[in-house]
Amino acid sequence: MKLLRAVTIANAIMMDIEDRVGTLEKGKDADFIILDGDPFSVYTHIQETWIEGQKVWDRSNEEDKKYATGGYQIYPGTIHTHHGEGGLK
Amino acid sequence: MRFFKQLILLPALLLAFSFTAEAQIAVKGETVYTMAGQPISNGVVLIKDGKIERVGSGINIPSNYEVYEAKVVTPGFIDAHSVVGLAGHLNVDADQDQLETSNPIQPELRAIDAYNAQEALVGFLRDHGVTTIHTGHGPGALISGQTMIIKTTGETVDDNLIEPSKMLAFTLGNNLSRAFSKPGTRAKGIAMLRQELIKAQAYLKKRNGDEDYSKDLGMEALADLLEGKKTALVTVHKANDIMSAIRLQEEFDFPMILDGVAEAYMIIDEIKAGGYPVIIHPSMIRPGGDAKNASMETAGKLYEAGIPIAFQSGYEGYVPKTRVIHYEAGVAAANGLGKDNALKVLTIDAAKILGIDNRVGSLERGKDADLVMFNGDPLEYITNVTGVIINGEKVK
Repeated sequence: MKLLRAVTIANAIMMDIEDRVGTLEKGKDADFIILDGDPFSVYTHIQETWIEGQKVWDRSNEEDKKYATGGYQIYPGTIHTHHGEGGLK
Repeated sequence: MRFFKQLILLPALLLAFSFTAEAQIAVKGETVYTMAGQPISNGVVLIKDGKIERVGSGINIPSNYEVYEAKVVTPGFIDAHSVVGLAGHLNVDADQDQLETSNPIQPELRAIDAYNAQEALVGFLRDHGVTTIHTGHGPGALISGQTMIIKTTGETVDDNLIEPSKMLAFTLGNNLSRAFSKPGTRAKGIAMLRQELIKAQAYLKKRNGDEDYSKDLGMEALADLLEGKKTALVTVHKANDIMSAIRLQEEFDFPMILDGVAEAYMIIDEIKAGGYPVIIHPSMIRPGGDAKNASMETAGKLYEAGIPIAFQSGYEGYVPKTRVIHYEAGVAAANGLGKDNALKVLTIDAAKILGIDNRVGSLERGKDADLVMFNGDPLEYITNVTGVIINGEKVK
């Protein structure tokens, strides 16, 4: 439980944004994830990510899944890198 | 004064020696993964004179055995490709011996001439359950040098060496050090290697003949490769570069292990057809450069295809200068490989690929007593290593 606080509400308090995020409470932003097991088990996968009430990532979608497992820079026209379009220099 | 010191030291040394030479240990585990058959519940491993004496459940432990208990017991992990011991934790010039940049082809460089058995990173791996490493010259040159296999204990390289010269480290693709003026392109790199191997073929003929010849250290190493006495460890990531490695191997017919191979999943059939084992990149490799298409699912896909794989800590350019393979294995386990397969790959499968399964990789009578104790599932991040035994000696 302490570990879970250290990735949610403790950080929100540190950054002064606990009125909006960090806990699941009435009135706060609807930012949450759905997992298939213990959050700190290596075998657990995040299934869905929701931000402000919208599903932004879904592991059951093969294209989305690549952002969790890798292999997402393969196809021409869909090259995504943190260095921008065109791949790593 | 010196005499006085010796008086104190001598009995202490004798005592230490008698313990290490004759230690008899029993390790009890709620689950014992022997890697030779199904896991044993409430198992016992008896250790005598550095070797495994007996493994099973319901074994009576003789009263003179020192007893340790753990939730989970496994064979010592085998890091199938590391540079630890040549690369040090300080990350300064003085402790970085894994890549010599005076020439892009130097198969004559021996790992034993650079390995530091007392390097802190060796202890770091040992404390994480790695008892055997295949280490030596790293990626970054067409041929950077030789590798060796050693246990992660001992004061000098000679203490626990298993193989002084096992493989020659090749690198293909765009991963060569910028210190080299050539090759500048892929085709040039392959041409340089082919030329060198053609020279080695001629050298080998002379070596096997009656004429006098002057000994050339680089040619000696390459001739060993052509004779199958050494293996090429080819670090390569992109599918087209993997195909170049296969062409080179087919032309010169040397034993080859593919290393890294981020894009292996695109050409699984070609890799399988050649019978090449794969030392897979760390599951959490930074996906950039040639390895930009790396995937956490590759280990599972290769395993499912029947290609022998092993895990590696690989080469890390900056601190902490090494990875820890069972964390990489955990991620592979969760992404298609599965826990039981991951444990096999960490131990007996790696031992087979390195040709050392007669000594290590499983808990069986007569094998080296290398084992690891855990307080939970070995692949979980929240689990701790609670004990490590190498050659029947408790080293953690």
